[in-house]
Amino acid sequence: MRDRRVLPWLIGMGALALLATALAVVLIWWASELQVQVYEFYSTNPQVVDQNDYAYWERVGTNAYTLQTLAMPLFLAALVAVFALLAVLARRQDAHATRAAQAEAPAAS
Amino acid sequence: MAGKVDPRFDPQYQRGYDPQVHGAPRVEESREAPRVETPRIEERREEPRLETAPEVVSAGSTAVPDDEPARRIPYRLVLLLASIASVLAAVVLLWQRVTADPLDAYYGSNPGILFRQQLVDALMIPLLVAGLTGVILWLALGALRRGDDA
Repeated sequence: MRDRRVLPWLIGMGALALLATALAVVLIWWASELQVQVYEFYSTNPQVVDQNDYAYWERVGTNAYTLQTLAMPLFLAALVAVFALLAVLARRQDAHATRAAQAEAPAAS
Repeated sequence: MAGKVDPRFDPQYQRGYDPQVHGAPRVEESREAPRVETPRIEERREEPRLETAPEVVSAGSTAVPDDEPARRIPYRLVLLLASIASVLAAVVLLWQRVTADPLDAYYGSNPGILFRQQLVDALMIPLLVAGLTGVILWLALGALRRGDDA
């Protein structure tokens, strides 16, 4: 009964960790694609022809950096969720062991 | 003994007893009234004393003896190992990043290489922070465990 009450929360933590990881990977992939575009622009236009064009691609490069920065807290959330999941499982396992030891104590004495 | 009335039912022991109304108590029988044997002071002093303080047992639970072998909690061990591995991985990645030759840094249009580089960069700090958080959680679990045993 108690397991059934806790299980949805544990599943939620695991799902959140997976979701955050997936989102972080997508952001990093998106950032790398933007960087490729920026590189190709600069490699095909070694000299600045249009100042606006140059500013645009500079903005694209900044966006790529922003996406990469956004991935960090997502990775952090995913890792903390995994560690919290392990902590909850360890706590439950410890509580089960304590109850079992307390139940065996009177029988032993 | 079979024919006698229990002396506790004697009128002198009943509520509202009045010797003038119900008569004087029968001295002979009253002496035979059962007495509750209480240990004398000398006997009380001879009671065995506890060598150690008695174990405090909370209501509804029994205390776990101290000589019980340590319980093994695999999840707690996994948490500690994963936390240490995270911190070590972060330190290795940071060290590689710091000691890398800037001239060897990749600058090109291969999205796979760029993705791997950015993934490593994005993982360093989260690995460090989450690893330390895991160690803190492990310590908190230990404190809770001690609290349960106490």
